[in-house]
Amino acid sequence: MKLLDPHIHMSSRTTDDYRNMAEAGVVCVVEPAFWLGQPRTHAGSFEDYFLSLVGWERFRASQFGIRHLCTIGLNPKEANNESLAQDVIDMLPRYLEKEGVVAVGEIGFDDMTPVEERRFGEQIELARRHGLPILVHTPHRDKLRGTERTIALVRECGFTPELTLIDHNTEETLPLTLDAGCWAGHSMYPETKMDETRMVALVKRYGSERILINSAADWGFSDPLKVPKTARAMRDGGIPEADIEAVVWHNPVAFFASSGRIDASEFEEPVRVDQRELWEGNSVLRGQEPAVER
Amino acid sequence: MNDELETMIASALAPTDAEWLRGAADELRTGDASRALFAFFAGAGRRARSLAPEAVGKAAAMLESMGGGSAVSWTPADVVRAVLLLAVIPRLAVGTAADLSRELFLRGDNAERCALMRGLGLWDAIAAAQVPVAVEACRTNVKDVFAAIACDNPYPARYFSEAQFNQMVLKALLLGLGLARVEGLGRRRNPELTRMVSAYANERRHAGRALPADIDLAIGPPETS
Repeated sequence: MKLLDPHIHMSSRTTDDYRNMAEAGVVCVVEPAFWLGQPRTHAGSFEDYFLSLVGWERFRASQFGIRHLCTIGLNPKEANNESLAQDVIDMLPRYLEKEGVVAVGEIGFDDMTPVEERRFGEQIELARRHGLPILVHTPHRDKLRGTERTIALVRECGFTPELTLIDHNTEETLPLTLDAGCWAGHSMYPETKMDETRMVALVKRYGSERILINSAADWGFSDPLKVPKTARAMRDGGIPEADIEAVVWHNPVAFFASSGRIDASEFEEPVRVDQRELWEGNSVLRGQEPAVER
Repeated sequence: MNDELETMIASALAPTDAEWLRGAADELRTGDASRALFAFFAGAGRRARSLAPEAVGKAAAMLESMGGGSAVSWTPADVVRAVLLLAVIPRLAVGTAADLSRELFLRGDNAERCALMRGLGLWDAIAAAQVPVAVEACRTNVKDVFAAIACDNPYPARYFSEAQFNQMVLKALLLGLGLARVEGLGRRRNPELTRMVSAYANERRHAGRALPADIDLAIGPPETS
C-alpha cells in the first residue's frame, strides 16, 4: 500500500528519516510552509525558505524515491509580525505559481488575533486567484473555538469547503469539520494532538470519507513514521483495507489533486532514485556508494 | 522569427493554455514586463504539458538556429519559457536584461534555471552580459542545471573566458557528463586546460580509479577548422 504523509516538515529531518519512511512505504510527502521554531527577523528569510521547499528539499526527497510537494503561505504565528507580514504576502503570488506547490498553507489561527484573521482572509483570496486549495492549521490553545472561527471565515469568504483541509483535528472538532464539508487532517503526535488508538476509534465511528492522517513531524518531539504506524494500528483494529487506503493515500491524493498541479498518471509512478545527482555543491552522500535504481 | 515561434507554439497547445500564453506574451510586450514575467515563468511548466511533441521538435530546431541550446536539449516547458523571454528581453537595455536573468536564476526552481540557461545565447546584443549568471549556474551541482549550460549549448564556448571555460569542462568531466556534449570544446582547448585535465588524470591514477573514457577530448591544442 502506498502511503502519503500530507503534513511533515522534512527540512528539519535527517536522511535517516527519509530512508526509514521510504522503507515503510511512504512514497510522497507534502511539506507545508511554517515557522522555524523561532520568529524570523526579516521577510527575506521566508523567501529562501520557500525556495528551499521547491528546490533542495524536493531534491533531497527524490534521492530516497520520495515525491516531495509543498504548500506555500504566511503562517498564523508570524502573521502577527506586522513589520514583515505584508512583504511576505506580496511575494506569495510568484511562489504559489511554482511547480509542485499544491495548496496555500499553513494558514489559519494561532492566538486568534484580528491580524491573523486578516492575513488568513487575504490568503484565502490568493488561493482562489491561483486555483489552489487551502491547508489550515488550527490552534493548540482554544482549539474548538479556533476551528469554529475557521469554518465561519471560510464560509464568509465564499471559499469552497471541498478545497479546504482543516488540520490537527480532535474528537471535539472532527464532527464540525466534516459537517462543514471540509477535509479533516489529524496529526499523530507521540504525546499531544492525536494518537493511534484514538484515531482507530475515530475512523470506526466516522468512516474514512474526507479523513486524513499525518505525522506533522518537525524539529520538535515527533515521529516521521506515524502514518505507517497508524495504518498498522488501523489494520490491527480491524478497519477494512479499503478504508485504510482511503485515509493514507486516496484522500490526500484527491485533495491535493484539486490544485490541478498533480499529473495523476505520473503520480502513480515511483520516483526514480539516483543518488549520483548532486545539489548546490552538496550531495546527500558523504562517501558512501550511491544507490541507483534501474 | 519570434512571432512565428509564438504563433506556432500557441497553436500547438490546448485552447486554455494557448489563451494563457497569448495573454502572457501580450502583457509582457506592453506592461511592467519584469514583474509579470516572474509568475508566468514559474507557472509555464504545467501550461506546457499540453504542447504537441511535433511542435516541441520544430521549436527546438528554430531555437537552436537562433543561437540557443541544441535542438535535443529543449523540453516542452523550456520552449514555452523561451517564448515568454522572447516577448520581454528584446525590449530591454543590456543591463536590465542581465539583471532580469540573474533574478530569474536566483528565484527560479530547477526547471526554470535550466530553461534560462538554454536560452542565454538567443539574444546577440545582450548575450555577453549574461556571462555572470551562466558562471553562477556552473557553480550548482544539480546535474540538470549544470548540464543545461555545459552540455548541448553553444553559449559557453562563445562567451566564456578561458578560465571560466576550463573550470566548466573540468566539472563536466568530474560529473561524468560526457565531454562530447560540450559544444566547441575542440576549438577552445588550451594549454592550461590540458594541464588541469592531466593533473586530474594523475589524481585518479593515485587513487586507483579508472580514467573517464572521453578525457582525451579536453587534452591538446585547439582544433582548427
